[in-house]
Amino acid sequence: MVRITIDGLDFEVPKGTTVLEAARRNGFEIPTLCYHEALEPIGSCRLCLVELGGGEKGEVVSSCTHPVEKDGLVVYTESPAVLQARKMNLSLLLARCPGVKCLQDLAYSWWVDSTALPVLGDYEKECILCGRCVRVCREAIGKEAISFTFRGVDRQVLPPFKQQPDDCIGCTACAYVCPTGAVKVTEEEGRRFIAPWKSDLPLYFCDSCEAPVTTIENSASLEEKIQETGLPPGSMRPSFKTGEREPEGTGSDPEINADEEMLCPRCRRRRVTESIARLPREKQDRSWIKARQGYK
Amino acid sequence: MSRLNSLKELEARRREIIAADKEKTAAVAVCCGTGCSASGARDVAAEFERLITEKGLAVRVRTRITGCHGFCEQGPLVVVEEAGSRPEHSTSLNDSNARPAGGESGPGGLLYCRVKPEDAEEILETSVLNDGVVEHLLYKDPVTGEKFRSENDVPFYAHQSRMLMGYNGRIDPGRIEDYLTAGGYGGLAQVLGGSMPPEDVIKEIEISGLRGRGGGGYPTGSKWDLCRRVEGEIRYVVCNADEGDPGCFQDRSILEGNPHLVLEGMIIAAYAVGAYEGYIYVRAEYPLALKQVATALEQAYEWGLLGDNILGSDLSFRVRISRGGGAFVCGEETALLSSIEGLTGEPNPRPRPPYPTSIGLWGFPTLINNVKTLAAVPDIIKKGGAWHASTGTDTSKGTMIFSLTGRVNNTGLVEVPMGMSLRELIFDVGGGIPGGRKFKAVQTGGPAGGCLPAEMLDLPLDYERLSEAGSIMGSGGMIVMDESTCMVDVARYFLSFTVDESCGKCTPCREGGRQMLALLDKFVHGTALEGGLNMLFELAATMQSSSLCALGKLAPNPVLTTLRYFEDEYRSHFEQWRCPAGVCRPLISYTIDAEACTACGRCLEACLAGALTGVEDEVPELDDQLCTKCGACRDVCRFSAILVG
Ligand SMILES: Cc1cc2nc3c(=O)[nH]c(=O)nc-3n(C[C@H](O)[C@H](O)[C@H](O)COP(=O)(O)O)c2cc1C
Ligand code: SF4
Ligand code: FES
Repeated sequence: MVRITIDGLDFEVPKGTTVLEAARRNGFEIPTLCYHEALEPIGSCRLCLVELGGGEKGEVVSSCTHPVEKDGLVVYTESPAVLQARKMNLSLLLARCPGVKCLQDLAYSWWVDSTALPVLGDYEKECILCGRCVRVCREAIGKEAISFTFRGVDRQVLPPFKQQPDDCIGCTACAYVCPTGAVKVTEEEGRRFIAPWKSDLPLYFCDSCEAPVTTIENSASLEEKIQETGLPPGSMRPSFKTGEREPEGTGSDPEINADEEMLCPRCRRRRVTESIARLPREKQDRSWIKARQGYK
Repeated sequence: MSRLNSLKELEARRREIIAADKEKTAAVAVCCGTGCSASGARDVAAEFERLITEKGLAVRVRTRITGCHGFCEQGPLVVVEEAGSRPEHSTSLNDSNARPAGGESGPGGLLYCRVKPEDAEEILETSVLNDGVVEHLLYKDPVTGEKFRSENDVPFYAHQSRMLMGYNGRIDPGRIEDYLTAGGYGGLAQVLGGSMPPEDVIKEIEISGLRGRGGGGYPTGSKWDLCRRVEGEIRYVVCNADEGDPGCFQDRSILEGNPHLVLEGMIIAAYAVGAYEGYIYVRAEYPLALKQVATALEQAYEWGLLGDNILGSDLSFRVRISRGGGAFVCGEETALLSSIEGLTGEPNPRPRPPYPTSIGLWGFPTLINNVKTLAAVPDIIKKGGAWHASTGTDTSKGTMIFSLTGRVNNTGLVEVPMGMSLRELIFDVGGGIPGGRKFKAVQTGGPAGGCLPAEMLDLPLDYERLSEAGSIMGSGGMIVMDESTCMVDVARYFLSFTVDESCGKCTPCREGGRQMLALLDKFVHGTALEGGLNMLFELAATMQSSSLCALGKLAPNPVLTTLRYFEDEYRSHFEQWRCPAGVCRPLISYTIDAEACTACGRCLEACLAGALTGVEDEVPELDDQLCTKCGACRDVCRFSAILVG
């Protein structure tokens, strides 16, 4: 644990936490846009600014990228320099994307005049270049369907050569982490479209309730990932086997010879419960339950 | 050539080369740096070689194709030296003064300017075979008309102190032998000789007061020390030759003219910090530099100056070339490292510390130094840190190479001691402002530097003084402006460069830069309001305090300094809708001075917009609606009858 002073109050935080985490954990309010707790910080939006005092004199840094390494760090979350730059950066983003709700909300709560600067972007544009989508794709999904392209004001997030990316599995994690809603996902006629990347992938439907579930590529990718965690094969597969299962512990894949049904998670859960409940206890396949218990 | 396995062998090789050259009593050095090559130096060199072979002079005379001498404006340059004037003869490994005749020592040869291939014969006959001088090729002062014979008398060179650049004229960059005869690799021999452990090398660099020439000015000795102290086996040395400042070509000229000097500096740095691998990051737009560096590396490996057990010692070091794609921001160290690693060249937001000296290339401690920083190292080792520290000011030691451009008589690369005043640099070395105009301002430190007015001319060139004045040393850009320059337009111009080169990662630099540019556009069009000035300050403050890397932090400098020193000029753009320098087109109009006009009709032909109409022997009429304010009429008028206001 290391000691840190935030706006005059002393706290102890684990060594290596970022100033942002340290402050938020202790109830200080610092706005962020490019920060996401599941992703590596890149410090690009420059809203989470804090001023370092004490030893390092009056330096403004992004708190999301600044780790607390040793005792005695003194930070100010709302010093005049911080507020000036933070508000201006918000104004700058609003001048780029005036129509974005999350920016308007931030402007409201930070007393920023959203008309301070002339709009140089356009009202349609919603991408604030926070890069969360790029990072979630690479860091969490393990794909690289999109990346930053071009330089300066021309910077954009695009798939390679602006074509439908081969790497895209249609998981929509990008849309999930996007703070502005710039990543638009639509589903139509059995296909999923992710507009800005031109992704167009087939969906599968639940054999039981016939609701669209997810893309075939996505479920395959999830399956791959789940195997790394040690769960038995098939645990996350949407399919449910109706055939007899071999007794637990024989090491053979219980799925072989089984009739496969493609189910949505809800129907699958229902079937599992039903099938277990129907059997006498000693015949129940409890391998999933056990494996889940060991997995956090 | 075989590998050298010990210091003795190096010394023996040096003697061998000098002995082999004894016969050659004269040398013709043709500058084939990028500037002179562009004005036809390669043809001149070929002609000399052809003549020398034809006349059977090859035993006595040698042609040397050298790197840039700095005075590109007068190129192609040819220097005729006599053997006696060359210092090779006294050179030995132990002679710590071994260095080529630079600007400050040695008599220097005859300097011929703007030489054409057809002049080669005359030069050979008159100055090489006889003692004569080809008068019409000598340098003539544009103001006084005085002619100068020797390189060292020419005012452009006389005020310089060419510690690094001086080598260029004496060395054929393709020949490691030349570098050796000039005392090259003597510094390396000294550190490997056993008497200088790495700590002593670092100590010597600290004593020398050398500071990073890449722009930051961080003390080089401390940087090496930091890197050495980090625990671990793997360390890297990186030479930053990205040189993105427009108009700057110092690093390029050194790499093109004397690549071994930088290489020797790198090897010494590797010895001092304990690195086994290094990279030279050169931008791909520098084909000649890339070629010379590649040749130098090849020779150094062959001679055993790179690779395993350098000169039979325990030191092993390998150097690779990494080509940069030519983005300005890739000169920034974290972006540069990303680029070497094969990632997008974008600055990383790593809070510092840790600096790259502890977490750098692929996460290992990395020493990054500029070309000029590394080039200064061999002489510091040979002559001692105190020798280097004897030049310069309290805080800035040694020399700095400036790339002098804009409205000065002598443009080119100039190497002067730190602490020289701007006035000396511009008026003595640069020869003043052409056309009898008045000096107005000078932009130092490249596009992210500051614009200093005439009141600041006595400012000594020193890292601290420059930053107090709102500018930076940067990598040595120096753009001189005369009274015909509009400061708002200039600020807008420099800012547009940094906005173009911004990587776009962070908000203040990407969005703030373009907002500022849009505001400056309003000034240029006369549509700005009083609040515009305030907004410029606010935007500048945000960029300075919160940008992710130094590009964004420094980008507002030209705007801030012009606001600080030329606020009136900004004001007259929106208060009186007038551009005092007569530059901003929306705010100026052309009129014809009927008194001065002789009705010669030249302007009628020059005007492509059809705005001028007139008949013979009458003052032409100017149609304001059609006039595009291109200035063509003013350029052709011999009677200054076209007025701008
Ligand atoms: C936008 C930007 C561009 C830079 N360009 C260069 C460059 O072209 N060459 C260079 O040596 N240093 C450049 N630097 C400075 C480097 O980041 C670094 O400080 C330097 O290479 C360190 O070497 P030194 O200590 O020898 O100066 C640049 C810095 C910034 C912020
Ligand atoms: S300051 Fe400019 S160049 Fe540096 S990271 Fe930010 S956008 Fe990129
Ligand atoms: S949240 Fe820290 S810079 Fe964006």
